[in-house]
Amino acid sequence: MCAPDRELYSPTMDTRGPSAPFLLEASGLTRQLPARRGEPDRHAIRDVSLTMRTGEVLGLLGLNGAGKSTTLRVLSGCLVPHAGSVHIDGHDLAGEPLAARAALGYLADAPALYDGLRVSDQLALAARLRRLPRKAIGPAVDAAIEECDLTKAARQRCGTLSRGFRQRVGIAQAIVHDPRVVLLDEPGNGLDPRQMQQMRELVHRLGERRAVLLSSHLLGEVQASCTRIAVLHHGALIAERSLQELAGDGQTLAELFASLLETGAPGEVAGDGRSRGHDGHDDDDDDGGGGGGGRRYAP
Amino acid sequence: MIGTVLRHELGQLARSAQSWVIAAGFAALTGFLFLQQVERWIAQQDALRLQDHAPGLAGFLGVNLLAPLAVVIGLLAPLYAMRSFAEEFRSHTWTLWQSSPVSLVALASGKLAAVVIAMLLPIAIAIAPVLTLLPFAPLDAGVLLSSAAGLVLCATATASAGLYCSSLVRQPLAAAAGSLSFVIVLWLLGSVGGDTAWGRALAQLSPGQHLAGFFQGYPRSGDALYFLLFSAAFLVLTVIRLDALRHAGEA
Repeated sequence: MCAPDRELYSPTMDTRGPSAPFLLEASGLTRQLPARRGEPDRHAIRDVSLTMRTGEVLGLLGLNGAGKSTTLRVLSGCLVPHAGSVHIDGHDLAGEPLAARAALGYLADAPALYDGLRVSDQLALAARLRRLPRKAIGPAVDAAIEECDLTKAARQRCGTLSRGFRQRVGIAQAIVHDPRVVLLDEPGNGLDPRQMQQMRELVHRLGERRAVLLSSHLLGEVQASCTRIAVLHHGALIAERSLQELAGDGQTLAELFASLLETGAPGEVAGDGRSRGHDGHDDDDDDGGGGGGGRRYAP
Repeated sequence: MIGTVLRHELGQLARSAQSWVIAAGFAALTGFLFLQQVERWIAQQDALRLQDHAPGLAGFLGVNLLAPLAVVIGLLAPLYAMRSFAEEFRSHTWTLWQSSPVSLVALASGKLAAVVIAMLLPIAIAIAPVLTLLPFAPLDAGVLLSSAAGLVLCATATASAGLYCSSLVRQPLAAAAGSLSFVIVLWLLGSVGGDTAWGRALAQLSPGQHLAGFFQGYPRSGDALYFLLFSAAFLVLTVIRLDALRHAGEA
């Protein structure tokens, strides 16, 4: 990938493992939904805590309305949590929002593309907005285009692209400034099987030097791309495990997911040992204005 | 960062056919009014010769051509500003700005600056016909400069109101309708209040009351301050609204 302005993206430490500092640290994130008369408080997400280090690819799993998109919107700074805090690469998202967002790449559920811009111009805009130095923009755009296999589409206007290509441009836009943390909301949306495979390889590559958090309702996609999974249900994080632990338990991801949703019980939490409860409330649209509806759980 | 926002926004305005259509329509209107006022000036030569302090050509055209065009420019600026935020919300590009390390002040200022720079085209269209008379008649450069300053300040003020309305809705046309209604009501305040104390106070809120001096060649600092405060107030309101979107999660 490109080599952007190291003053802004100075790595805290490039080591991995339990002793490495957290690149992403979210603690107690809560986002309430607008109150309805006669109903108790409803939450899009409730007391969600996550940590990620370099080299980790965390898959955020959940049914529609579980709060995946809301969680990513809060982590990206698009939405302010009603409680809790987010630190990105050591920067508090509330206290140092610009520094925190500079270290972040975000693909929203609908890629933020200008239909009238060519792909290369769109990526150059994203690079400028992420404060890359003028000289670094060209190489960074070229690298992102190559990384996401967009060479043939580089001169096309975003408005003329297919859904799959738009998704890839969205991913390229998220990584053009070589961020330390990458958030991908349903990156597999609209991709054909070949593109899906390329996307998985891309996520693997991204995860080698960064922390990548991707949300999905596709278990296969998560299993193939991630090193760790977290399950959201009714806005609460009910389980967090590494795929290695899961394999050690002799359980498949589909089995774990099904059992968690069936019991709705708090799951085991790997890593920091904090447990997360299930609040048990019932809501049908938990994304707080951010989520895309209409998708169904597919193994 | 304002420069990045400004450059992107200017590109968006330049790519929009609507900007050019508006400018073309304004050019046609300006040409018609200009010829009408030049004929009127020629027809009034005998009467003007008898006056002690007859206005010069620049002063005449300032009051009779540029002052009415200021109303039109005041109404055009919200049309240029209507897409600034509403279009971003509608096409889901707002998340790009929200997740970027760009402050809301820089974002709103950059977008306002882009609309004002785009408005320099209609303003130039308004001034250019007057300048074509330069080889044939002496023109008062001071009057022309103060008239241009009045037009720029007026455009900035109404563009900032348009920018704010654009941050309130997802439909650019709704933003345009809201801001045009507001500007028209504000302009009418200058004439509906009557000669009461309240009427005079209300009239002070009208942009029209603060423009006359610019076109007569005697701009007052108070009038300039009115437009600057007007623009700053709506810029601040826009920033507050954009910040509220992060909390409400509406866009």
